[in-house]
Parts: sequence; C-alpha cells; structure tokens
Amino acid sequence: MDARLTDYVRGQWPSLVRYATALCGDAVEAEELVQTALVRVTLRWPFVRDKDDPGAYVKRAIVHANINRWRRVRSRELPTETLPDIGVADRTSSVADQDAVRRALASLPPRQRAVLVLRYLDDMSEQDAANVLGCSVGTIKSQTHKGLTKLRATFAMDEVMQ
Amino acid sequence: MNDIEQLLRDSLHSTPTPPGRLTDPVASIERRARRARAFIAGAAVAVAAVLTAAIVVPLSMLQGTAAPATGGVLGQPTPVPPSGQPQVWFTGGSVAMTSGGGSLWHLHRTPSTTKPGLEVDRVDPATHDVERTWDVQEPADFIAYGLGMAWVWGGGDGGYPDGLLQAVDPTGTKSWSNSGKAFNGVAFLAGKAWATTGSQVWVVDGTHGSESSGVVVLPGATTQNGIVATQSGELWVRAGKSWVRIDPTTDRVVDTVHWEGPMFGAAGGAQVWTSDGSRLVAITPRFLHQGQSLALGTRVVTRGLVEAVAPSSDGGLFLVAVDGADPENDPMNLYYLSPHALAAGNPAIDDGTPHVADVTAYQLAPDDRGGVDYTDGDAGTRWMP
Repeated sequence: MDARLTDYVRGQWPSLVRYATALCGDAVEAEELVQTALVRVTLRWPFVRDKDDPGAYVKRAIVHANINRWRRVRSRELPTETLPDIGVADRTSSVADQDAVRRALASLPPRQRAVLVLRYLDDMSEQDAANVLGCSVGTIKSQTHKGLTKLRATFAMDEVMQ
Repeated sequence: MNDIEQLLRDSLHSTPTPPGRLTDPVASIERRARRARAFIAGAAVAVAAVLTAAIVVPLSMLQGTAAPATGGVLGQPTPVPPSGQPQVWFTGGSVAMTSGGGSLWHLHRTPSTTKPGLEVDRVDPATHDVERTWDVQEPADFIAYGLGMAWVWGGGDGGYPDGLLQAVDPTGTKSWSNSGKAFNGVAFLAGKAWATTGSQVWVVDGTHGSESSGVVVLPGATTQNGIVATQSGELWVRAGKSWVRIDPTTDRVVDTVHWEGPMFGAAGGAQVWTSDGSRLVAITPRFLHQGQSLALGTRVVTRGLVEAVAPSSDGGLFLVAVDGADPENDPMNLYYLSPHALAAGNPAIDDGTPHVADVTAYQLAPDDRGGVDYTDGDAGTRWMP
C-alpha cells in the first residue's frame, strides 16, 4: 500500500468507520464495508487523482460498496412495517432524538440513505451527490424528499407511541 | 431548514465512533488486497486457458502426449532464458495479460505519472518487444483475446457505478467501447463473443460492441469470469449453485447441472477445470447427471486453494495455488506439472513439484514454447520450468 494511503487509513480509520456506520446502520458491517472499499482503493491507487488527499475518492468507494453490498443481500432482507426498538427513547433529550434519527435512517433503503448522508453529513451539493451516485440531480431531489418524508413519518409514529 | 433536517444533520455529525475490532486495519487491507489480486488472476486465467485451448494448443494433456505448437509463431529468433528462473520483463504497473493470435496482449498502467491511464500492448512473446500500443479507458481489470481482437473489461464492483467493456482491433478498423453494463466475464465460441453480467448472458457484436438481443436469463447470479467455452464447443456459465450450458446456435439454455465449484478454464475435450475443495479437478459437466464418479476426470491434490490454471504447450499444466490451508496468510506458488506427472494418475503437489515461490499471479498466459507469462499486479514475468 502506498505510504500516503497508509497514513490516511491510520489517521482516518475511526472517522471512516463512523461514516460507514451512518451509511449502513450497523457498526460491525461498517468495518467490513470500509475494508472492502479500501481494498478497492488500494487496487485502484494509481488512478486516484489527488493522492495527497484521497478522502473524497475513499468515501465514494464506501458509498458504492454499500450500495453493492445491499444488492447482494437484499434478497435475504424482509421489509417490515414497523421498526424494532422505536418508542423507547427519552423525548426530552436531544441525544435521544439523534439516536432515534439514526435508527430511523437505518430503516431507509440504502440509496436513499446514501443521498441523505451525502447531503447532510458531507454537506454535498445536489450536483456533487448526483456525481457520486451516478444519477441525475432530479433523482437526488426526489430521494431527499422521500427520505425526509419517511423520517418525519417515523418520528410522528414515535411520538404517538410515546 | 426545518426541524427534521437540522435533527438529521446533528444526528449524523454526532454519530458515535463504534468500538473497532481490527487492531491493524492497514495490515488487514493489504492482506485482502493481495487476495483480491489473486482472485482476479484466478478468474482471468480461465479466459486465457479457454483461448489457449481453442487457439494455441490442441490439448491432449490428459493422455499425457505432447501437444504440437500450432499458433502464434512470429519467426523471430528465440532467446532461451535460463531454465527454471523467472525473468522479469516489465515493471511498473502490469495489470493483466493473455495470449492469442500469435501475440502476448498486455494490459498495464501508463508509465506517465502526470497522466495516469491504461494501455494495451501487443508484445512479441519470444522477445517481449512491444510491437504496438493502444490507449484504453479505466476501469479495466481483465483482458482476453478473441475474434481477432483484444477485449478488456472491468468496473461495476464498488469503486465505480458502471462497468466498461472495450475491444482493441489490431487492424485498426473496429475498436470500440461499451459502457453502462458491468460485464464480469467474456468467452468466445462459434464466431461469437459471450459476456456475462448479473444473471444474464449477452452476445456482443464484435464489430460495434453492442449487445445483441440474444440475452439469456440464468437461474442465478454469474461470477467473475465464470464462463468457459470447451474445446469440444460447449459453452458453460456458472450461475449461482449451478452450471448452465448454452446452445451457441439458438442462444438458449439447454442444460443445467448442480455444481458450485469455480471455473478455471477449458481442460481439453468437453472438460472444464474446477475445484472440489482441496483438489483441482477436470470435470465433464454434462456427465454430472450420471454421477460425479463419471464426471470427474484428472484430480490434482493441492495444499490449498487453487487460484489459477493454464495448460502448458508441452501437455503439462501450470497452476497457482495457496501453499497451505490458510488462504489469508499462506503464500501462493506457481507450479508446473509435467505431462508425465499428470499421466501418473491423481498427481499431487509436493515439495518436488517445480515451482516459483510466492507468486501472487495476476494472470497466466502460456506461450507455445513451454513457458508462461504472468503478472503479479506490478511486474510482468516469464517462467520456463
């Protein structure tokens, strides 16, 4: 592995796992996801344009690895009407709210989740998010709208359950 | 910004760092990258083996008779390398290579550090002189030769949203690229090119690169380079837990057998090299209907997982296999089994088997003089056992 990539991985590993956790909703899966993406980056290293700052390339690889992972496992996943564990949070606490949001985010389809993570964690523009995901700006707009609508609905249900 | 957006933003930015299981992620990634290169090599060599069987070497290895060298002779003086010693002839970014049409076809990164890219070289297999070079686009991981052209494909695997299939025409009249589909394997039979993606097989027009309407839907997902044309003219595709035979004239599935093993390329006649765990096996897929005892031919006992197989022009066999039971940590070697060893019945890899140690071979491209060219992801090397 190139020394620059090694330094990047050693320095950013916790941050990357955190990023992947936001994308896939599972800490154990996240570590696997980051490894998968970084293996890909290692093999593609000669083509990484900004070798001194490969963060954008690595994150893009993580996003695509997560979408591919979902494609492989989706046949094993069963959709459910309600989320497990919803309704146990302390609504007076903002920390609890954030935790509930993360769990609600994890219930979204991976592509929708990826759009929200790119837009609200990476603060990407709609155009940049579209470039990363290989789709149109219109798709980003619609997926953002649908994702936020679902989050609101989940929260509304959560409050009813309180 | 409304409440849910702000809450989402706050939530994402305050995601706690999960406790890590890995003590050394860099070591783990490097190990997996080495394995990934080896996996690509193992898969890619299936194509090389198909081409070699179909174009260069009429295999009779299973009978232990020497196969005549019939193709690819350029009439150049042949330097004789020291026997048994691998010779590096290219450094600095070899990606994949195959043989066909009398040449060695070498996919590699451009030497330029300011303008990274990929090139395909047509190489004299005897002297390793570069005869001509073509630019190709990334992503590109595999190369094969068929229908008079060099075919290159890659992508669709996480680093890129889409795949790319390209062909380089040595005559310069019909080079093309086809983007959008993540093709993962290509084979050539009956004057057609067959490419797999997802759970489908397409016939690809060699003149323009477009997929024809002759798509075949399979009962399961294809795997990387899980498509083989046998020397007897059968086309087999690995689909999930089955191998499926496609009639090249009607483009339809005509047979399905249960076999989960990988495909390592044609093994002569109607046989395909595969693995049943600890052994490399030549199998006649359609005989599986009548039982494994009838379907299984030559079996080579190995010390670990087989990654790549290619026939030698003298009737022997080259294979890359892990030297031990731990595929994550044990090294891989490049072995040569002579026609005599193969004819002895159920041969085994042991300390006396001629080999090059620690070869994480990226692809095998046997020549017609008993040698083999390969890449380990960086250097291009030739070995004459």
